[in-house]
Amino acid sequence: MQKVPILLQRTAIRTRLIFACLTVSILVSAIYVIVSYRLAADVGIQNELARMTRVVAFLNTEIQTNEDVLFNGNYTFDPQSRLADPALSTLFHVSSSQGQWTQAHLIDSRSSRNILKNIAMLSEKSASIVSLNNRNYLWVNVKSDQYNIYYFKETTLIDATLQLVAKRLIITSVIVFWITGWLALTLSSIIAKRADEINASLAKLATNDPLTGLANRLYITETLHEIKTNEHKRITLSQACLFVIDLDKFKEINDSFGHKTGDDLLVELSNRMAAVVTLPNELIRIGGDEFIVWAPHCNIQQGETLAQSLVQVCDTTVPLNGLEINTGASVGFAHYPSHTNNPETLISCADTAMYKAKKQRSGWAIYDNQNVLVNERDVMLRADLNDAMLNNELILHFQPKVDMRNCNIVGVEGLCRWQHPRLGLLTPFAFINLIEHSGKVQDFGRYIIKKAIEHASSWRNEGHGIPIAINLSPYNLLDPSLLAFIQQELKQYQLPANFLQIELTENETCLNIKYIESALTKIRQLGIAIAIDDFGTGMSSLAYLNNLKANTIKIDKTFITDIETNKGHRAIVSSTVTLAESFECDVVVEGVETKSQADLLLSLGCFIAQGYFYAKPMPEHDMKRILKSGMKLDTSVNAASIFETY
Amino acid sequence: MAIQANLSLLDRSLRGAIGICVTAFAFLNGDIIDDVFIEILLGIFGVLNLISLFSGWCPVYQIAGVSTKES
Repeated sequence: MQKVPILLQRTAIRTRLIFACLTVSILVSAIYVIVSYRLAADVGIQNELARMTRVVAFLNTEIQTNEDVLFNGNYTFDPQSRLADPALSTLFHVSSSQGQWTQAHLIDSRSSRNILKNIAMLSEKSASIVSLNNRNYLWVNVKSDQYNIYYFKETTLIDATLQLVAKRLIITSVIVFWITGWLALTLSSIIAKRADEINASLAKLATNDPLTGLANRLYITETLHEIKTNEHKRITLSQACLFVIDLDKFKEINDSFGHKTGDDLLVELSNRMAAVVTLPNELIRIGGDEFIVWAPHCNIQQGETLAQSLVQVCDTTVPLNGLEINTGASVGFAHYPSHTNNPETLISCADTAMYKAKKQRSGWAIYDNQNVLVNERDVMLRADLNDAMLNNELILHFQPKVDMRNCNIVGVEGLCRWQHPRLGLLTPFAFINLIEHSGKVQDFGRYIIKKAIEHASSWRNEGHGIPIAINLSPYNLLDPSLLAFIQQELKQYQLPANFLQIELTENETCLNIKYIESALTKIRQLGIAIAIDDFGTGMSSLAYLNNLKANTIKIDKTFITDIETNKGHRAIVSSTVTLAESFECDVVVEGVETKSQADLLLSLGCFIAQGYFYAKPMPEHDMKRILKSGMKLDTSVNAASIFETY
Repeated sequence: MAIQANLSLLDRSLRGAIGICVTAFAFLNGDIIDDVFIEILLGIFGVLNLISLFSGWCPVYQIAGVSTKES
């Protein structure tokens, strides 16, 4: 079972929702308490004022019947017994054109005076409650034809309302708050759950491959990124292996049987692989026919076992459309941390190993640490390459071609070397691939042609007229203005064209053979001889030989090294000589190292040879020395030993 | 909706304590509250909490899909 891939998810929605619901409930409760309190207080005050108005009306009637007594100062109004609360303080004030009358109950004379002073400031618009000495008084004023009557009464209504609120409203609020709390919890849980479900399904969509149901590239990228992030937190993964699996013949199957069959094959193989890949290991499809197996805590030995079983699983046949299809796979794996410290580069390391496995057809391969060094050096060299041509660091060394019958030098092959300022002399193995992949192939080709023409011209001027052969790859021949360049250079150095030869290295793909043919024909028409290098290896075919109409065939040294013991190679050399005769080509053998080889080759009809037996590649000044000495190599003293240092 | 315990011991005892207090307050201190409606409300809440105490189950938790019970 694959676990559901985890993406970074932020669902703090729940806490926020609860917080929001509770805040709203507190707010609502507070508003509710305040409004209720004010309502209760207002209703109470209105009732009280109505009662007081009735008391004043009663007083008014009393005054009219006892007017004389009132202003004489002998009148006492006693509404308390019938109409008012005797425990509360009251004050009556009556004024008319005849005089004034005041009666205070439970109010000291100073407070009374204060109240009377404030009477003038009271109007109909004033609040119905006035405060004096920390006491609250309600007041009413009734004006009749003769009298103006004020009635003040202390009120405890606000306190009473507060008590009611304390009792009932607060309890109710608590209950409301409680219900809201529950509602908040339920709502937030339901919403958070929905959000989590949606997140999970989105994460599954984003990190899963819809065809096979396996996790996808995003998932493995996230996982590796997580490990890298956790490194700083010191939650380290002690070791892990990452496998890259590439199906070998998937493209062919897809092309021949259609995408549907290809998809079915992928599904079937992914199921079979998933059966081998058990947790905590995970199978991931990163696209097309490429899979990754992520195996945390897996050491190299376990990795090798797993790689083997993966290769085996992919090597089984799958019945599709009534056919037994077997695609096969190449597996490469890299180990963390011994191969790379950075989890994010694990994939590229495993990829490199996979390509190695594919190239070697070995089924599986482990990442080679040496590659790291080579890669680092390559990166450095690639940077230096730009200056190499400008600074003339690329130079030619020369290896003579010798007529074995008389040891005369009949030509030289110019071999490129890089005189690197720090690394010393580098052979083409170290840099030729870099050139081919850097887009400088054509510049490089022209550079070499120019150098060869320079040397040939200067030697010729010194009286040593000898052709120089240079190696060009078919890529160079794709340069449309190469011909013009060669013509121009030959003209500039006043060198006859037959002093330059071009050896065409066989490429694995013969690119645009028609174009190359026409380019070669034009070059040959200039008078430049064409040779096929390393004949007999690579992808050369007899048709190629026929089409290119080469002047020379150079038999590869693999046939020469063991020619004395290998009958087959002897037969090949012998028949190549015959073939060359038919095509009217010269034959040059490469890699002659002993006298007995030279003798045998002579007996087979080969006359021109190149090899350590005669001379190793050498720098120009050594070559010139030999040329000056008569263009003849003395093989009685093994010439190779003279130039041992090269 | 099957009744399945979803309260932890702490949650259960807290609800129990609240339930007992609230129910007792609602039924034994009618004078203080002075309102039948509020008394009934408090009574219901108290009783709900007491149910939680005895059964270890909270209907709201069930609806919300929450559980404080130790797994």
